[in-house]
Formats: sequence, structure tokens, C-alpha cells
Amino acid sequence: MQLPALWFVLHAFGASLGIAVMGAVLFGGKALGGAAPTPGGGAALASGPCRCPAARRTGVATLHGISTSPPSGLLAAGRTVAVMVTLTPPRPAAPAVVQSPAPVAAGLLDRRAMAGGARAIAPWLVGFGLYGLVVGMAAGKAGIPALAGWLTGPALFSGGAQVATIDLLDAGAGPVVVVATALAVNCRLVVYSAAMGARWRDTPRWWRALAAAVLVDPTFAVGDERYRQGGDPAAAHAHYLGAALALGATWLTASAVGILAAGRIPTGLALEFVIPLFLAGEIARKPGTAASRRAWVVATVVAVVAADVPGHLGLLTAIAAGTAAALVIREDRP
Amino acid sequence: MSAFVVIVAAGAVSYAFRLAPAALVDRVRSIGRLDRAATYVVPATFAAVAAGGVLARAEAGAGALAALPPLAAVLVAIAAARRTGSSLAAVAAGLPTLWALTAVAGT
Repeated sequence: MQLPALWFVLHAFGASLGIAVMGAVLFGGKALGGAAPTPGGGAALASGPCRCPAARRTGVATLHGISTSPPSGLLAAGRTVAVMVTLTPPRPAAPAVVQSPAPVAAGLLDRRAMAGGARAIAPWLVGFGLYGLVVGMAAGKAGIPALAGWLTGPALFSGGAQVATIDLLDAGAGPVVVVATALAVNCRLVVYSAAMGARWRDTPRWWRALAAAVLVDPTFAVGDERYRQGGDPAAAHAHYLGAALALGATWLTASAVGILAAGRIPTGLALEFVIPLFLAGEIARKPGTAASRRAWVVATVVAVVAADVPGHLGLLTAIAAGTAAALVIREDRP
Repeated sequence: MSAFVVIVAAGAVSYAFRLAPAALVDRVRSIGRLDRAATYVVPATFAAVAAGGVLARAEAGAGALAALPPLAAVLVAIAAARRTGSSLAAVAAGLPTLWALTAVAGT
């Protein structure tokens, strides 16, 4: 375990001789330390956020002193390690955290990239703002506490699942039916999550936990587009999160306004129809490949045919059928 | 059972749906295939949700012509999006079409 970790450290620090010697002392000390290693051993190898230029460049784990003085650069980090090896008194063992590939920590919350994500999702915000308004109106009219209606937003973060949950609670359905229906509507998120997880492999767990909470159709679409452009992974992650936070803020605000305005907005406006229109527009505005055309055509047909499938499974069936039909085509043709 | 408890329970399991595949993806070897599938999940999902919305609107209306306004509105929206390259234009063109035809058809 120590040798790969040492290689990572040397790589991150440009493999200078002084650092190499310190690294040898560091890991040799840990190996010999046995039952009571000092924090200057493997424990100093942390996977937490690091803003060191080398770490940003290489994307591997770096040495962070568990001292009170944060490293201000490569040499500073090296000095911190050296001080810990020689001066730090023995403490209980802490586990060495070495991950491969090491988490991309720096830049995950980069404001410029997040602002870029917020701009990218801006066209969606109009449609989903109106949709959030409609969901809020449904919650406001239902026979459940207004706060409970609004809580479906942060809890489920999916318009379809929220409307279904509110309707069923209003109709007095049992808890199992409500939860199962919300899950059936949200089944597609499993596919989104699996696809995004491949891109999020290098992120810390806290970031994945946060990103997964706001994973829904628009954030997946905007994030997917940015990830396909390539470039700095951390910037792409921040782009996704910026888009998600913008959508979340809009959605929850619109839902709250909808609850407060329930009964004042005429239902004849059919604002809930904004979403089918917007999604149809999203499909139509891009030329797409033969495979993607096959995906949406098959999904449309199956969605209509399977509309009456019990348990709200028609939607999932349609998505699976459309995706499978597209995958049959081996090469994308224009 | 309180509505709050049911909503929180639904939210917790829904969150597990979102998180589990992403957390377990390290154990999946065929990432390339997943990535390729993700390309088509988006148009398939959008189409399925849009079709479901049109169907729901058609079923909510009364009379034999109930399906006409939402269908025509979606077709107008698609034409607007193709012409302008903007999804907002689709909404701007489709929604008034729905209102107008709903009023004319009396559905």
C-alpha cells in the first residue's frame, strides 16, 4: 500500500529528491511504527481538498500536514511533513486514505464554472419555473398541510413524482402506495445516476452525495452536454452543480409561490402543459443522429401504448424501449 | 400516518435511487456502454414525458376533439423549435395554440 502511495506523492510533488527522501522517511516510519504510528505516517496522506498547483495539474492525492499551518505550496507542504515526522508526539492511529484515481477536490466549487452551469440551464428555468408554480398550486389546493406540499420539492425534487405524491395523499392513499408510486415515477433517475456515476468517479463522496440529490432531467441534460465537451473534469463538475443549484432555487421558490397563489391562477391557462412543449422543443431543436431519432420515436410510441400499464411503469418501459432501440444501431449516422 | 412522514420516506428512497448507482458505479465494468446508453436516455425520456403530457391533456378534455388542441400545440411547438433552435420559442408558440384551439373546440 505504501509504495503506490509514495509514487502518487512523488508524482504530485514533481519527484524532487528532497521530497523523495522525506517520503521514504515518512512511509518507512509508518511501516516501522507498528501499533502506534504518528500522524506523520500514512495518516498525513489525505484526500481532502487541496489547492496545490501540482495537485490541480495531476489530479492525484497530495500531502497535507495535519498541523495547524496549511501548506502554501509544494515546498511548504514538504516542510510540514518533515516537521510532523520529527516533532509530532505519538497519537492514536488514523487510517491512511489512498484512492485510485485520487479525488478531484480543487475546483469542484469553482464559482466561474458554477456560474457557467447556471447560465446553461437558464432557458430551462422559465419552463420549469412555470411547472414549479403548477406543482405548488396543486399542493396548495390539496387537503394536506401547505408545508408538507412544499416539502415534496426538497424531498423528491421531481415534478412528476411530486404531483403524484400530492394527488395520492390528497385522495387518502396508503403510505406504501404513495412511496411506491413516487419511486415508479422516479425510476428513470437510476439510469441517470448510473450514467453520471461514471463521470463522478474522481469526486469526493460528499460531492457525489450532493450532486445525486439534485439529479433530475434538466440537470442531467445540461451536465451531460458539458461532460461531453471534455476539458477539466473539476470545472465540468462545478458546471453541473451550478446548474443544479440554479434549478433547485428556482424550483423551490416557484413551488412556494404556487402554494401561496393557489386558487388565484386560472387553471384554464394549462401551465402544466409547458413541460411537454418544452421537452418537445428540446428534442426538435437538435438535429440528432439516426439512433437518437429512433430513441425518441420508439419512446413516444411505447409511452402512448403503455400509458395504462399499472404502477406508472409505462414511462419507464417507454424510456427503456427507446434507449434499447437506439443502442441497436451500432454506428451513429447523421 | 402523517403526510410529512410519508413524504420524507418517499424522499429518502428516491434519494437512494439517485445515489446508489452513482456510488456503486466503481463496480460496473461496462462504463462505455452505460455512457452510450446515457446519450439516448435523454431523448427517450423527454419524448416519453412529453407524450404522457399530451395524452393526459387529451384525456382531461371532453368530447371527441379533446386530443386535437394538445396535439396541434405540440406540432406547432416542434416547428417553432426547429425554425428558431430555441425551446422557449416552442413554449411561446405552443401554449397560445393550445389556448386558442381549446377555446375553439370547446374542450
